[in-house]
Amino acid sequence: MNDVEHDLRELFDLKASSVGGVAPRLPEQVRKRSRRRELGTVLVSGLTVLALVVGSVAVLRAVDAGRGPEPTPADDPWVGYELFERTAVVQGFTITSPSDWYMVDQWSWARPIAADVPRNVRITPVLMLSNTDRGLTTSPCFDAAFAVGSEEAIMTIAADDAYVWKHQGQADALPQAATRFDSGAREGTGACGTGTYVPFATEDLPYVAHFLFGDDVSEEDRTTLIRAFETMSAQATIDPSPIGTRRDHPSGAYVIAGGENAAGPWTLELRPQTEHGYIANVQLELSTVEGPGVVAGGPFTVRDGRPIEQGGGDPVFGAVVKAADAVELRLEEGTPPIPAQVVPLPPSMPFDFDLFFASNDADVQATAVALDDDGVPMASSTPVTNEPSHTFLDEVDHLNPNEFWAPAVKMEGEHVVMPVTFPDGATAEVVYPAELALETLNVYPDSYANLEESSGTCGWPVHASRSDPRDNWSRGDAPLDRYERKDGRVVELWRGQPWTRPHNILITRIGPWNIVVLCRSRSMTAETTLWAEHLDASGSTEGLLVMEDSPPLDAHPGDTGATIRFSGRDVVVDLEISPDDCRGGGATDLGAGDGVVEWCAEGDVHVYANAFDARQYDFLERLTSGLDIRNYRPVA
Amino acid sequence: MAEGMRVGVEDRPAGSGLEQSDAADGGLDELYARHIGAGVRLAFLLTGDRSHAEDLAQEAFVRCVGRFRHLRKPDAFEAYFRRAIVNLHTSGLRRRRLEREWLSREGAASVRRVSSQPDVGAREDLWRALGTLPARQRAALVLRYYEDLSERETAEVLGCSVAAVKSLVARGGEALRERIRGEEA
Repeated sequence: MNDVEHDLRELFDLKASSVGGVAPRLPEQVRKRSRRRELGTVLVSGLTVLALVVGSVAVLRAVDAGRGPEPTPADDPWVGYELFERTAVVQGFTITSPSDWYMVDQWSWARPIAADVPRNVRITPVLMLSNTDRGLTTSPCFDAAFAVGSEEAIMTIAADDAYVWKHQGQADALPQAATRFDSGAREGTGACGTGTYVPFATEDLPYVAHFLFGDDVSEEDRTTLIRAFETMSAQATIDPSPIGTRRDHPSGAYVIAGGENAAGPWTLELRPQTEHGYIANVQLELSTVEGPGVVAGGPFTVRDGRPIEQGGGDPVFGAVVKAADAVELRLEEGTPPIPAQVVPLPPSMPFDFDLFFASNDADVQATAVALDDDGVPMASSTPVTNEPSHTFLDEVDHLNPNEFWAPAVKMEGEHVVMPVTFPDGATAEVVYPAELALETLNVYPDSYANLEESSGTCGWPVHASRSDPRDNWSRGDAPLDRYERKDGRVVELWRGQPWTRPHNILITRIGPWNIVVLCRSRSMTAETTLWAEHLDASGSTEGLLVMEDSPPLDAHPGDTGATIRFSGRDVVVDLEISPDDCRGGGATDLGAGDGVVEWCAEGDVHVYANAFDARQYDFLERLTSGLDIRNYRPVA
Repeated sequence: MAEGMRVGVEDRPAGSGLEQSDAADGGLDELYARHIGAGVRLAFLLTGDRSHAEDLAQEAFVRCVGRFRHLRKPDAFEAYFRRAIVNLHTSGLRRRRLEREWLSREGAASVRRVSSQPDVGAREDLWRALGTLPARQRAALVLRYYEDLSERETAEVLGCSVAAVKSLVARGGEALRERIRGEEA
């Protein structure tokens, strides 16, 4: 031991002893804060340890990532994947291109837009094929700022409504039917801006192919695009898919694959859907030329413990975790498996899974199995249905215990914007870089209610869950007691799980939500009844809950406590309206080394994030630099 | 550290201390009583100020309670508590809140009290020199020579490598020597 070490040891012992006795009594303020944090964490942990979902409500974050005058730089998602030649029927056109080119079926999106354009200049994009991902909501025919990148090659096939208008009443006015690029091409400016135009016709309608080539585009890409055009064929009479409204079809759809089964040609498309006016939910849709629109499809995602999800019959298609090395269809015993084609998602859709499809000519029961690097089925590789029918999810009252829910989001450049309503009714927008993917966490409201002259039978944190709390909060086949409110709603008291001790669970169901209050009583006492009768809530526009009350219950005592919680398996992020914590600049802890970060954002929104696993500390650091609250509007 | 965080006899929960508490909070009282003394002492060695140390230890306690319950590892509380104290201390940003609260409560008097400590000899020189070290160097020395943590355990608390701990301790020790020599000169 050296001199300084020796001196330090002595000094430390001396100084430590100089501190003297420390009152072992828990100060009331510390008790209060501890209880609140403890209960809050119990509420969190009860769900997070049970929740195994990476992201079940797949919220589309970047449909228009490629939108704008320049393409979005992105790593080639096809590195490491097997390319294939993709032949698909898109709105009556059969077109072949390499699988790593991006083909977007634009018809349902473009038609409503075109309808607003004067007929003498109207042109309606049908599909766009490009060597870069331009997203689903742009076209050189609609976007005046559209500019081709130096290495890009882009073709748009569009219905030439203006041609029809100009030549109405003229017999044999259709342009030539030949689709040779060299013979029909003319440079110029038209409805899709400058570029190369090739007019052509099917038997009954005029079309135009519009080409854009960047100055440095490779000869190979140029040739590939022209070949795709020249080998394209069209049905004699094109019967495009029905047109909805802009709200129905806020974007185009990626054409993933095509093929043919007993019913004829089929096309597999990836199409986002909308929710609350925002783009949300990726859908895989299988359509046939002869069939009435979509014949099979649904929202596909994968979860921990379920690395693959399948649909369809022939073909079988679905989603698989990126960790899978391959996918194969397994039929009955003794039949060799059918290898499936794995397709990475386009860069504008940064979901953490791949797609797959495989022909199943016999249309027999087939199980898609995800294989690891050694060709061994991945753990829990249990597929769901392969019913050759619609698999769209109907509206369900409750999520499964392992499913997450989050409000819909929209993209602003590289950032995700999630509008939220706090349980006290305040509103705000949560803004964060797409890489944080907060929308893949389980989002729910928490609040703190207070009952006048309470004896403390029920805890004051009020939790809400979209999953049935009987799945993971309570036990037993029947409630301990129940109470019918004056409005007829039944509130039940269930025996709590061991982790809720000493509390039991008071459950009030409102829409898809279950409001949970922890109560110590084993029956509906006078106090429990007051909670059951006077705690209420209504839905917000985003699908969250606004807690409501009537005396003697106060759902929002003071101005602190209304919380939106983002809960994952290893991390929890609380956004709590808390002037208490934010007074004078508020608590600020941006160091993730202890698993906790906190700071105050706009509107006295106290951000408190807790990682339960050191591997998530990096997430906390990115959270501190990326998460923002804006447009905060408190309750009037 | 096999013997656990240093616990003084005065820190053990008094029998009467829990009687008036809510039964559900009994565990909380006991936990607090068992650990707060050692926490305050550790915090004092890190901060050099008693009031600040209490605030820091209490803040760390509040933070650890939730995690402790979540992790359901009662034995781990001590380690988490220690780590929370050190991390709260080593982050200057984190200290702001405590300092603000402390200063608003204590006023300028507390600052004077710290700065007007009489020099009572070499030990105080060392103590004063210790106060000039960067937070992580000081924490490394306290953890190694007061808490008697191994280099590996210290690295875990500080969230760094063993090599970094060696470096922090070496540089901290060297800086103390330099400063003491400078004061003696």
